[in-house]
Amino acid sequence: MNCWEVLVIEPTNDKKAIKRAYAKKLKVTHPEDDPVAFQELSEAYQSALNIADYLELDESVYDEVEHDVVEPNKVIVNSESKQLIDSIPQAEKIELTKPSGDIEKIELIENLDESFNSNEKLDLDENKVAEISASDTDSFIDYFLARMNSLYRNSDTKNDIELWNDLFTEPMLDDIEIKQRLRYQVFDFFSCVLEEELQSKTKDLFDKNIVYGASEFFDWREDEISLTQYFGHESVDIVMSRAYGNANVSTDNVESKESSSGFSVSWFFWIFIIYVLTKLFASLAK
Amino acid sequence: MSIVGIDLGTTNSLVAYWDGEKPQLIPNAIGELITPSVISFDKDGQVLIGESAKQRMISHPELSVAEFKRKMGTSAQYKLAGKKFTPEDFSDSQRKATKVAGELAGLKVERLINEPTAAAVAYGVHDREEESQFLVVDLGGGTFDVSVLELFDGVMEVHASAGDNYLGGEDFTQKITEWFLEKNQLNLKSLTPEALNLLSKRCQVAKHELSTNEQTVIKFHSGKSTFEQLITRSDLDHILKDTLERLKSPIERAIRDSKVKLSELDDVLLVGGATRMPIVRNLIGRLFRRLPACTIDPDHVVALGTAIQAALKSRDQALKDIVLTDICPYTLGVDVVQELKNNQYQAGYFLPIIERNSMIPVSRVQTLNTVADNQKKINCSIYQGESRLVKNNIKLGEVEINVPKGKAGDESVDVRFTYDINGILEVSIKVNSTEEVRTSIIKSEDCQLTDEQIAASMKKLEQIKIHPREQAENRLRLAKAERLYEESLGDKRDFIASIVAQYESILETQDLKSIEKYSKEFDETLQSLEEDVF
Ligand SMILES: Nc1ncnc2c1ncn2[C@@H]1O[C@H](COP(=O)(O)OP(=O)(O)OP(=O)(O)O)[C@@H](O)[C@H]1O
Repeated sequence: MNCWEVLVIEPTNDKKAIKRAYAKKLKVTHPEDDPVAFQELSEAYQSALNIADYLELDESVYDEVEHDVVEPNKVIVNSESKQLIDSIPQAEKIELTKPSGDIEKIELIENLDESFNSNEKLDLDENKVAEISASDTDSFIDYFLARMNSLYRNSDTKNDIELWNDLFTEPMLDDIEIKQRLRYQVFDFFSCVLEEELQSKTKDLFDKNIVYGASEFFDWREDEISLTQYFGHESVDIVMSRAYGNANVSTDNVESKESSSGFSVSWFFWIFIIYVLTKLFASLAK
Repeated sequence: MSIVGIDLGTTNSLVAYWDGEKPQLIPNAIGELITPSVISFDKDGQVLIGESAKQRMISHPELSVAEFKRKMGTSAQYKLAGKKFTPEDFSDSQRKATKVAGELAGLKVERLINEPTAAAVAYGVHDREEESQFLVVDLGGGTFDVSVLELFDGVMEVHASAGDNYLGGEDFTQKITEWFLEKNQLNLKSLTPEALNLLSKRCQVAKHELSTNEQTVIKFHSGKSTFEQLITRSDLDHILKDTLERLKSPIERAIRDSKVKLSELDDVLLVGGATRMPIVRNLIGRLFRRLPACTIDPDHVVALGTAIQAALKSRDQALKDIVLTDICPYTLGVDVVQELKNNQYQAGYFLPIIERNSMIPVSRVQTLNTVADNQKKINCSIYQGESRLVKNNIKLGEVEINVPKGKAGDESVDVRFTYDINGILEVSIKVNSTEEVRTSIIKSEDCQLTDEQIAASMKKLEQIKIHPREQAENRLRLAKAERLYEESLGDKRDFIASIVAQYESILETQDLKSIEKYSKEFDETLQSLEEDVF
């Protein structure tokens, strides 16, 4: 059964409809009573929501993809996903101007003396809470990546901790979404430059404290598993061992252990995107 | 049999039940809804709990403990009144310890639930018609939790949760105390335990005052010297800067894992006493570009939510069209050997089988192959954690199975992980060629005390005498007076000592009438003493 059959609805990109269908079935498929049916339902629900994001792109896509998508345990290579992460902009192309984020305005939220006993909701004063516009966000991200690249490429600034520190304490980085967007791009940058260093056998190594600082700032250690899935073991090993010392695993005891049959747990979301994109490109090429 | 919900907090505990329509808090012996999580022993070895014990933290620090929840499941040991209490005897994890504690207390622990989930459930049932996605930030005395939830059509879906088990309001108090000591050139070691507890209490009061006032004064006397230290909100900003930074990462992780866009979040809910602090609210406001909301008393919300979850579990009629779906908060997997380059293998890698924040119950399979020729067996160590290397994760158990001899890679096994709604993990390995299966159950958050162990512990506990309920209020009065004694100087001290002696002698007469009469007077005297401490 594909996910739409499980949910008993026609394929749709209307997420509300998907949720409604799921809720209706969930009432008779209680997680405690029937775990197997519940899992089938919850997986169908999640697939449907993921597919819905892409359905409007090309109506014909879902027919072909759904089979792969509803089997979360399928093992698929996903090294291509690396390409999905925006490439690092080159310093030459981008002007190094700092966008004037409105983030300081948010400091206005102060002295909220609301009483907890009142059952009313806080009156949100929208005007007080600054919005950061999309263009500000984009230009900050460009600025950050370009600045990072230029700091690194210049041997005078490459290991200047002060300058790196300034960059990583930019107030715009307080913004969760900006930080999220930079997280993998910065990782990609660090793993690339560390790999270059390794290959060129240079003596002028990137200061481990800067790598450590970046890793702590973005909390890469919390997501080692998914980073490994996007970037591969080697990249993660390079960055992590520079940041935290030689954290590598021991090589003894090899024979008695088992190996994974090949690749990792299906990284559902990315695989899906790759699949859809390749399909899309294929159909465009036609 | 009915189920109650208990919020066993680091600083305060509450109990609630479902009355058929809504959750209700249950008051304690002295009629209060909130009971401080403090215990204390008196001279004849009897136990005092709650408010009276809290008062005794200052007068009898060596006989009292607070914040013990933080130490549950760690190797801390308490020695009180000659008796030893070793949480470590029981388990290696906090949740496990909590469960054991419940069982030792003669309760059947039905389920341990996530604090923010409970809070969100209370909120969800409270404003039921709404269809919304929200984030709950719970900063209590000792723990910090974040969850992202969605409500629609009677479904309460937990998308993601993250947290820090060692971050809370008590850490803020600690920081303020350290700052005070440094400012006044006092040495921690030169203070008696009484003085230190008194100072912590003063700093805690100041912390609370700074939630409503711009500045306040911390007054403290030790030995003959008296200190007065002005503290402002900007001092507080400075003191807590680093500690507050630690709030960010769990929040970011929960958002990231939930894949929810900030603009799609309808609300940010604040739960837990420490979220009353403006600097905490500002930080959260800044992160989310919006003002956080609070609709239910942040102290009560977790207990109310647990009562609702209890009612959901027993499928209460009033909640029959609500279903809560929860998640597994961490990644579970096995260790594997990874092929690095051609024929170079490295051991110690972690292969996730159930990823964190998967909806539970869930069951997942991975296929593993042999890596050596004529390998005789496959041994799976089971781990929980987020590192790609098993050595940084927590080992939960091991399963081993024999495989027929063959060339490397020829034999394969299916490893299936099944994680149920009660946090019990079942691991089964099947050899594909022989169909042999081996299963192991890992109750990651469960306790496996034998009946004898429980009986033995109960026996130990029986020796502890708890004051009868009728006496609770009298004990509280005495404890308060003793604390005031500790806080006062000179003549006032002597006066307090004399009234305490008098009250104790009246209690000994066991004449209810005169006790009642004198108690009232005693309360009034205490009240007026309280109002001018210096
Ligand atoms: N007005 C206030 N201003 C600042 N802090 C406060 C205020 N009121 C309470 N707190 C702090 O909140 C904390 C207690 O919160 P709460 O009762 O929610 O925690 P808990 O449930 O006992 O702990 P946990 O959930 O971590 O186990 C204490 O550290 C207390 O100092």
